[in-house]
Amino acid sequence: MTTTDPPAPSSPSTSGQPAADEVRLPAERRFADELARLLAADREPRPEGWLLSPRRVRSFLVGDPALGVTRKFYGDDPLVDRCLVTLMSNRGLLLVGEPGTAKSMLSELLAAAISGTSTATVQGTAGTTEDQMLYGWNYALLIAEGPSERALVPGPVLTAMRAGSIVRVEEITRMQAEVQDALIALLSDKHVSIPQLGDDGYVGARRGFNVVATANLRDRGVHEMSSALKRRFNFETVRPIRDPALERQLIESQAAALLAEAGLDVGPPADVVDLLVTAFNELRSGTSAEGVAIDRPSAVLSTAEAVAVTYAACLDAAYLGDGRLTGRQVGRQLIGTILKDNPDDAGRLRSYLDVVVKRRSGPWRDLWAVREELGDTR
Amino acid sequence: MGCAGGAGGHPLTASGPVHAGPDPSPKPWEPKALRARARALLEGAEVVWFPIRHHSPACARHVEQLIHRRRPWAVLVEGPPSFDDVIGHLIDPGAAMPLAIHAHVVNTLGDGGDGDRGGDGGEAARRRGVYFPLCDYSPELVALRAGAAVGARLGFADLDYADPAWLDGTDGAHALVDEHRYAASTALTALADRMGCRDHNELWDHLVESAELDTEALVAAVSTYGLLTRWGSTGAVDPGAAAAGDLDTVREGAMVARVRAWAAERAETGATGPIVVVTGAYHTAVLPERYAADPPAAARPAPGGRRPVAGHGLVRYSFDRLDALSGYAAGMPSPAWYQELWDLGDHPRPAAEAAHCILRDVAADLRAGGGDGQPSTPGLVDAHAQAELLRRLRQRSAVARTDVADAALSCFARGEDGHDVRSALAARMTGDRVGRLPPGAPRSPLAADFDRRAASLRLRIDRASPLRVELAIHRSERDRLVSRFLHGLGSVGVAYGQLIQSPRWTSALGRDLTREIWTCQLSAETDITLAEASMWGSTVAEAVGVKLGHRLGELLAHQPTAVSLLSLVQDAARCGVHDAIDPILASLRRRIADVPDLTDVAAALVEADLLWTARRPLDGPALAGLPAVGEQLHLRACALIPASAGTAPVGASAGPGSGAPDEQLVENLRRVHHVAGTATWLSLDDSLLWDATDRLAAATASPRVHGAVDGLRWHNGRVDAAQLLTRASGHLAAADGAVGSGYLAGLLAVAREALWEVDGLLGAVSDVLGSIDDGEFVRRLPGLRSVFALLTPSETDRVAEHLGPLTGGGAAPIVRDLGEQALLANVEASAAVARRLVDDGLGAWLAAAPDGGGRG
Ligand SMILES: Nc1ncnc2c1ncn2[C@@H]1O[C@H](COP(=O)(O)OP(=O)(O)OP(=O)(O)O)[C@@H](O)[C@H]1O
Ligand SMILES: [Mg+2]
Repeated sequence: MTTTDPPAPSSPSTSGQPAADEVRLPAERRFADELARLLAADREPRPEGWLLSPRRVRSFLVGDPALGVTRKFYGDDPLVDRCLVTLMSNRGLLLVGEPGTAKSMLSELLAAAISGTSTATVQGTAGTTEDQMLYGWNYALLIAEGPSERALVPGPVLTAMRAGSIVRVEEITRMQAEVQDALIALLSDKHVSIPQLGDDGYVGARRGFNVVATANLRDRGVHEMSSALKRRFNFETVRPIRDPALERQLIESQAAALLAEAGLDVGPPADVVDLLVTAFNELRSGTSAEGVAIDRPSAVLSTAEAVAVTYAACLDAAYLGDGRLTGRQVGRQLIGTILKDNPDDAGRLRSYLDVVVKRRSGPWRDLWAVREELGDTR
Repeated sequence: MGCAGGAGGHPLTASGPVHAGPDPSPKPWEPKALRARARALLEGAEVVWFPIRHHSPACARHVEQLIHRRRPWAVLVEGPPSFDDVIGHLIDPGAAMPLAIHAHVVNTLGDGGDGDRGGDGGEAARRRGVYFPLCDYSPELVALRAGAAVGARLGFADLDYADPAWLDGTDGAHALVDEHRYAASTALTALADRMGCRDHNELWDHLVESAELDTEALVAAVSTYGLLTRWGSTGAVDPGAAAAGDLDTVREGAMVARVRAWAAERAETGATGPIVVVTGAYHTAVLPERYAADPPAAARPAPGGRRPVAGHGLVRYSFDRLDALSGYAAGMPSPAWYQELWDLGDHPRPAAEAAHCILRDVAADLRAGGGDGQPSTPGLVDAHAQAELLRRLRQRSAVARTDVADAALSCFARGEDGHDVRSALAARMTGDRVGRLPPGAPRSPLAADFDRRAASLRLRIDRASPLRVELAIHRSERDRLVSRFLHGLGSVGVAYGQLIQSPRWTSALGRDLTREIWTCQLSAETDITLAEASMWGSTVAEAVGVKLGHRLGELLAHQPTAVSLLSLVQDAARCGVHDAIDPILASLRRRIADVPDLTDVAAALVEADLLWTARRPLDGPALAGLPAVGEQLHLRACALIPASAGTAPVGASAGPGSGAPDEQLVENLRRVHHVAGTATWLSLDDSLLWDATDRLAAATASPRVHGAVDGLRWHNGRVDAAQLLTRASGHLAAADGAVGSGYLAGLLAVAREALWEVDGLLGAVSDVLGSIDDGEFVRRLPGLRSVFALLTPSETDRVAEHLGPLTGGGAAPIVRDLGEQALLANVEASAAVARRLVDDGLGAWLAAAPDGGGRG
């Protein structure tokens, strides 16, 4: 699916129609206040076409307490610097990494802060066509008036080129090779020709245009990208957060933000977050804190899943329970996260509960109690 | 920036914090105060205090300038005063860095008897080795060189390395620098975080190396670094009041005393130039105050008890090692990067130029490695631009190490992870530089002894290429001596000889396996490890003996196994420390009666047997105590064997190959009986072992153990073939198939020749297999397979020869490459087809088929 949105680089806080019932607002609207404060405080030179100076974009991502700007990306600040500098250069940025390492989040935040809009996005699939990226035609108008600007339906890439903003290409490796290769010309020549429009059909990218692509390592497609395309991107590997304390901090703040958006002002209690971070780390690494070996589930257990589990468990507690979050709700969500496609994972989770969780006290007792809900797994 | 001369007097007064003017004095952490402190440090008329970080090119450059400007009477750098005698060699133009001053100390602790080794007391001394590595850009070295250039006197100031105070906190070998404090400092970590730096090393680069400061600003920054570390670790905020650990207090007392002694001499000579004192910023944080405040120190009471044995010398060092130190928070990382910065000192933009060199080399390295998407020339240009943009984004005056690394990662990595880029970068930033000792620099006593011994053994010492050494240790006395020398060096960790092939003692085959083959190569690592080994002794022989005694002490402290003590005996024999052998054997004898574990006893018996077989080249007489040990081990085995019945599972459930306790028990039995049956050097009472074995058999239900015991009895002629066959057939006929395969496994583990030497045994096996249906066959197959997997190919052929006539036909063709999975699948498929035929009323076809069983 392809979406476009007219960019409004100069006034991020007022772009588009307010749509209170949208499930999730794009970053530039969610963080409109922060962006406005950063803009007001920005005295440093900006690259042409950029809404903010690179240092302010950095602040937007890693936080600036003095301006009331929250940290959004955790665990690798030098990576943020490298991304920014790449986007100032003439190469595109390709974020690669395991699922759930915040590649898409980074790309959205970068686009929001650099261009004021993160909605010029191509969602890569096997069916994505060059037309969807660049432009198509309104055939009624085309037949009625012939090829004209009015009949042209610009795709996200064309829109971004004209506006001088960032276009996001999600899951680039899922697109067909020919479609990927169409980006080569774009990235090197920085212009498109629309032959049907004659002399008016030349669209040169305005300064500020660049591409942020993401690719998931479990898709195994990065190797197959043509080397011509690879050369036009700088590769940045986004790694899972390795520091449990940092992951904990992230889970708390992101869950709190999501809950606030949902109109709830309950945060998860500290001991339950501890439990969650510990359980995720143990299941990922295959060893318990006591050094017991655990069979690792094959399901993805990234920080993204940890945030989602926390959030869903809080909703569960608020709407279905007595409002108090315990290990039980966490356990239920954990079951849903782990029992996805591999039937063996149920057995793995059960043995984790029996071997590790059972011996522990406090909220772990409640977690162990969900064992009944696991059903019978051989 | 002119000197204020004596106008303001010495602003660092005994009252503590600095006063920077008539205004209410600023707090010591305010920029004004920090700047004033820096000025005061630099402009003392009598003493100039110059704070540094070890291996900081920026500090080195500025201390050099300062010394040329102030033309001091003396330059004192942080370090034990005993090192004074190597200064001349260090600043010798013939010396090439990196070099390290290495020192070792042996403090014999009060009690612990008189000897270093012997008895169960082990080694009662604390041994300590320290390094003081220096490179071209080390401020200490640069200060000494500059001091020499302006004709200043040179010396070290610190607690002497042999002082017992060092021993309280430290043991083993380590670097004599204070870097760990920076890594551990909470204040620096917080500051790094605030400044957007990933760690304190990047913070240091950001604030100092890449900041392009003038001397006063640099000293202010470095001094603040030290103060912050001090405050962070103690919670105090007044530099004068900051308390430090005991060792620090003692060391700083020694530094101050040393400065005071030199100052007294300076006063006597009426010299006018100051004394420049170059110390780590952590110490400079308190030294001026202590210097001003302390009353002239009374001489420290001489340490009571034994005088420590100590020595020091210069060794070649390597960038590799230097970089590794940073892993222990003991040094700055990436020496080659800082070397570039230093070498480019006169360049208008040293950092940009160094970045250029590194990026160019990393790109070339990656290109040489091949692979798709290696950095092209435009890639290199992009990387430069990237580094420059990162510098600006991070607001530094000059490109820093991390900017270069980040730029290379962004622009050169062309796949997931960028692993190759990381390792090419790490290699280039570390570098492979190795130092060179100046002519005439003394070698340490151990290194000198090494040279002498190597020469007298006619080991060619060739630095260029490795030397292959073949040693006929059975025949040549000289070769035996060489072997002992090389083994000994290895035992104390000296990197010189590498054992490529050792003789196989057990082999009854030709003489060619009786040689030892080594490759020997002299390298910087040899020098460094020789220096490290100095703490064990001043000759190779002494070091090897002392280290062995130390190992014995450590072993004895932790319930040693019999095998571990015997391997120590073996090491002692190999290294030629013959007088260490008897004490080890004696402590082993004292322990044997309490060894709890049959596995340990059986393994020790085998080890003892091997040692005895090999005793000639190892020097027989020294092993004279071995038979007594062997006999005692045998007795202990006889006591443990019957008691082992309980360790075998009662049922027959444990499958073969599962490493079950009865499998280990069978192996132990085999070993003990093997040694007892073959070791003519031991005088053993046979009946004891058989008695023990019979009692075990009576007590256990494990078919595997029964099979093994029967096999041993047959092998030793205690039962005849017919008796064995009866027992075997009985087990094979058991309803539970695992009983049969367990028994066979035990039997074959100790006497596989029974398969072809006992008439009818194979027939019995084949009968059983013929009588069971395919389903049962499939169930028993894994067990049987692993039993027969013990056989060698020629033994398998032998079995096949005997088996052929039994199953009709000639010798059955053997399908060796048929995996168990495939075989199982075939048999299962045949059975399924047969079932279908029967179901379809076509059972008669089965009988008609020439071969009823399924054969793949
Ligand atoms: N380092 C991190 N900093 C902040 N949030 C993180 C981090 N890692 C994971 N997250 C959380 O996980 C979510 C990651 O989701 P996102 O969709 O961006 O991941 P992704 O890498 O694009 O995954 P996929 O490969 O499956 O598309 C974020 O929204 C955030 O909640
Ligand atoms: Mg994504």
